[in-house]
Amino acid sequence: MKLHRMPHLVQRMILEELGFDERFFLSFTSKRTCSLLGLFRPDFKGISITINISKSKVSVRVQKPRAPRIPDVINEWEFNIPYKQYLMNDSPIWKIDGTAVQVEKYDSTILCCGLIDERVGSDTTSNSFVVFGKVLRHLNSVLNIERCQLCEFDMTIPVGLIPQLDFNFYYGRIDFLSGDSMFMTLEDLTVLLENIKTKQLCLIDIVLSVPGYKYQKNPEKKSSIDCLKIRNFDWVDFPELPAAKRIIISRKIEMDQMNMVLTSWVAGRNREIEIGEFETDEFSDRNRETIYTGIETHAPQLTKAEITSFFDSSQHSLNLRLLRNIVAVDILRESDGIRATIIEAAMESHVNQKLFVFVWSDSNLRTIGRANN
Amino acid sequence: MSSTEQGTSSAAPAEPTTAPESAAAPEVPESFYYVHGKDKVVHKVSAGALQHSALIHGMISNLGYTEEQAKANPFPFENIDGDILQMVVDWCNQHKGKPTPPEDTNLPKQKEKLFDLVLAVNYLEIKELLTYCCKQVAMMVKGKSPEEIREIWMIPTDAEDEAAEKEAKKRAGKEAAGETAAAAGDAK
Repeated sequence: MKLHRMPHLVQRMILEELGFDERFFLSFTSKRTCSLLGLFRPDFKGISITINISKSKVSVRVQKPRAPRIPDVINEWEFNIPYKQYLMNDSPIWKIDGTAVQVEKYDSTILCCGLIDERVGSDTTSNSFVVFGKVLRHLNSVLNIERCQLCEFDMTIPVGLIPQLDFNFYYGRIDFLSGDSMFMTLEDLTVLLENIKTKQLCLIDIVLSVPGYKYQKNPEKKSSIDCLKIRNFDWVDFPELPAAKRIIISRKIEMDQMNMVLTSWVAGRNREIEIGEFETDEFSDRNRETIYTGIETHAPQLTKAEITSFFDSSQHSLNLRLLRNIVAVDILRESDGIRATIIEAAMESHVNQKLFVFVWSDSNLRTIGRANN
Repeated sequence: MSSTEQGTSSAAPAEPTTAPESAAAPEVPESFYYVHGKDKVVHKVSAGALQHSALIHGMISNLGYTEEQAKANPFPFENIDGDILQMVVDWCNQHKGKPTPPEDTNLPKQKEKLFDLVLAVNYLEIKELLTYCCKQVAMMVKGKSPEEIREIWMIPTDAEDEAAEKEAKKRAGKEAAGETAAAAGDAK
């Protein structure tokens, strides 16, 4: 029975019959098989990757949601990649992204991986990162990964790990989860923001390992982040926000920082942003003065119904019912006259207030049911 | 509804013996066709059973054979082993005019036989049987490790693939050189 001698149609039919585990294991048999699996990707829904970083290892867990009818099927595999790589006696060798990797089965679903490719050097930590990158690229090449979570509870992301993420892949969602702050170097953060392609990137508690620096956007790089969520914003340069269509900063920013965002937008920078969501102090005339210093404001052109549909749109995280005292004002970009509506709103049972930036982009206008004239 | 007979694919195969008709035989006499595989054994199969095969069904529609002509000209499938063709014919007869069940447990368990059956069924375009076969092939690797899967499906290692590719390139190069030399010789 030679799989590779079967006609293409038959190969496809056979591969479509494979379950998650069989497909997963088949992918490690050879480069050719891996390419074949890449051609016929299954319609498995909700496959996620969870990357756990600890002081001794990085692990990659790939999961497929359990089918309700067959709860006994685990559909979960975890690669443990120790920073201290070692030769495992008599362990089978799998082909992972074209490289021979020793794999030892720890228990029913945990696989310990070691790199035995001598060409990449003898530094064991960097070898482990190589394996990490290869595992991710391999999984992305044969499965449709919808969500990627990166969890780190030991405060620091090892230097050099982030560049190993698979940047060719378009992720559904990437969450950086941590118990507290998650330290990352500016270099790694720059690599991440300028290369990742995702619908949503949550950098909730990212803190630069050397404080005081700001992320400097590379204007040559096009944004491939649909939504960027930030809480700790110490690394954010407000006049040059990271390139993302939608930016949510969920910690209170100062009025002058908000002014920097808007002034910069009017001057033609921060062009990637289409929707912004910021938290600020309670609005007062004086605060408003600070926000709009040096910016010409205009009467809002969005109707109440359009503002309602903006909040009701599926893209939006806030429910209009939780917002009150909604006030809007328009600003115009100097270079091309593009309009943005700035909407301020108080939140029910919340001290801080919200400030939304709604840029009149084609996609935003479609969302509220208005064609762009 | 089928019969098998040792014979040849010559223009006039010997009269095959026919299995007894079922009690609920159709009133209109059914037409029969003849097929043979690599072993030249001729199988008599009803048109109803052959409807499972899109390939044969298409051939019948295009040829417009009378029963006499069909008997004289069995469809030759030289690329299919006799025992495999027998399995296919049996399956077509068993499932003639019936809705196909969700599973078929009568498929061969030996992997080489199943492989040949898959190729034959794919060639003959018998969709339902191909689906069963592919399910069975996929079942062979259920719960197996990568090493076991490699063995069952005879998947070459990367090194073997590379060596085979090199060999194929070398052969193609030699053939091309041979053709060029022959063309040069012709020109002289």
